[in-house]
Amino acid sequence: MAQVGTNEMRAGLKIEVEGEPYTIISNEFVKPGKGQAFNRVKLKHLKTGRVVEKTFKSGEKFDLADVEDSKMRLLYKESDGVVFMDDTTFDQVTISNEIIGDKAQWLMEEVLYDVVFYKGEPIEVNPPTFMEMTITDTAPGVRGDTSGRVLKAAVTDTGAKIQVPIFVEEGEKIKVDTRTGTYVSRV
Amino acid sequence: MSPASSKVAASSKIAHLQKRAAFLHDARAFFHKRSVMEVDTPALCQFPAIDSAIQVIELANSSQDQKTPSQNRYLHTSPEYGMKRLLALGIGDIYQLSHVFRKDEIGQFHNPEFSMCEWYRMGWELKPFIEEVLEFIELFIGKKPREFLTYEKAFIKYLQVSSLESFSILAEVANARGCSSILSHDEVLDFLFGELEKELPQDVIVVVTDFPPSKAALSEVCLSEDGNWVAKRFEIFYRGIELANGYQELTDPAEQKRRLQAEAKKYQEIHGKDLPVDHLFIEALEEGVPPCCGVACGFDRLVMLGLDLGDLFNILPWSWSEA
Repeated sequence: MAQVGTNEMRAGLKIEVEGEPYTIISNEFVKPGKGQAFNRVKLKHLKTGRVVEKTFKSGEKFDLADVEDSKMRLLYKESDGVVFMDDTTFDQVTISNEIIGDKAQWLMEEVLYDVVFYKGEPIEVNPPTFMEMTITDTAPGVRGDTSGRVLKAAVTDTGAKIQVPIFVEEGEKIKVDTRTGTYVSRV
Repeated sequence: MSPASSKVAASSKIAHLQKRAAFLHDARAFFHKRSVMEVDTPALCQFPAIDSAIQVIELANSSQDQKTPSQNRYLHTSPEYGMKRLLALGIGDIYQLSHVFRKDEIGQFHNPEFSMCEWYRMGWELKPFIEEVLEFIELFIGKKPREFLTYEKAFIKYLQVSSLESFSILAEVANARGCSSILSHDEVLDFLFGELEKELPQDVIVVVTDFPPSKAALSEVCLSEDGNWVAKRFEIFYRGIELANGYQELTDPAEQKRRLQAEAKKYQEIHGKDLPVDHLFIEALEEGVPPCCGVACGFDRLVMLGLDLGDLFNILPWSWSEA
């Protein structure tokens, strides 16, 4: 596997430390008291999401993590997982509900998702930033306040629970930002 | 960058550089008032300063050089050797304000080319010399409360562990604090000192004295009151950032030669390069350099803190990636 030295570590790079995969958040060069130089690196574990800070001797080398991103289409849901397909290779993979985690609220058939693989195994599924979905459950629309700032609870057909403006009706299609879980606009 | 925001950035940089010019003027006035003379020893030398922790930038020598047809020249990492050779001539108190070069040191507070202010006081004792360095620092950041600690006391106070503990205990403390590399005893002390710097109070100037002999560099080593050998070396910090590194200077040529050779060996082991020992510097010590104290201050960092900024960018006319 290709290696990278501490001084080349930039945010976003994915490396392996003690056999575990991390993505680099930040890298600070320090040189205490004229002696050995160090790099203080903030890392986020690719599987658990836990953030740690580790200090390495400046110049030490690490393996790049064998991480790949793939765009895959959601075919259908099964009891214990979801089946995705790569449009170009027609490869299919079943990703467990455990790995999908809270992204389950953004699952919709036929949509393309960003699947992250580590050493060939899927570890993360990311939805497109903006998605269109239908409101399945909410209190009746109220006329009057058109600013969109007064909100009420709603549930969409993907199972996401979001706040929407009070004038939005059940059955309406809306655009949602999946990063923040917020309403963007009507469609 | 949009035209509007680049205009704002440009005027901000210009404002910072105007303040930088004022600080340069103040620094020179400081020394003029104290009868410390300015010198400008060369940056490109036949012999490098040798420190295993500081990588030297090497350049090919001029092809026209017939007097010293040595292969390479080195950019100075500090003006120390050139200045000490002048001290051996009996020049008296001198200072140098110049650019120095250290390979591969880039970060928030590091630029491979940076400005150093270095000076020497002949016949001065360490305590009053530290006082003068503090007065120089206060030119930039204003009067601040001071805290004086020995290296050992600083370890106890800010890390709750003695710097004299066994290697295994120190290594354990280092691991618990997120050190993920395998280190030697000396390197563990460096790592822990870095952790110590993180704990220093924000609005107090901290002076650390009495370093372990292994970290003496070019300072005298002597017995302290509690019977331990310590280096007569001091470092001054503000907001956890190192601003000055000073010594009761080592003037014994035999000891200095021994230390340089040991460092050259270490440098070879770490960086795979053979650096020549500066015989001109050793000869000057053999001529005799009078007892003196010396200090090197990071001028760029002083300007940065004086302007209450968080990094060197913009107080340098062009930082490394823009130069």
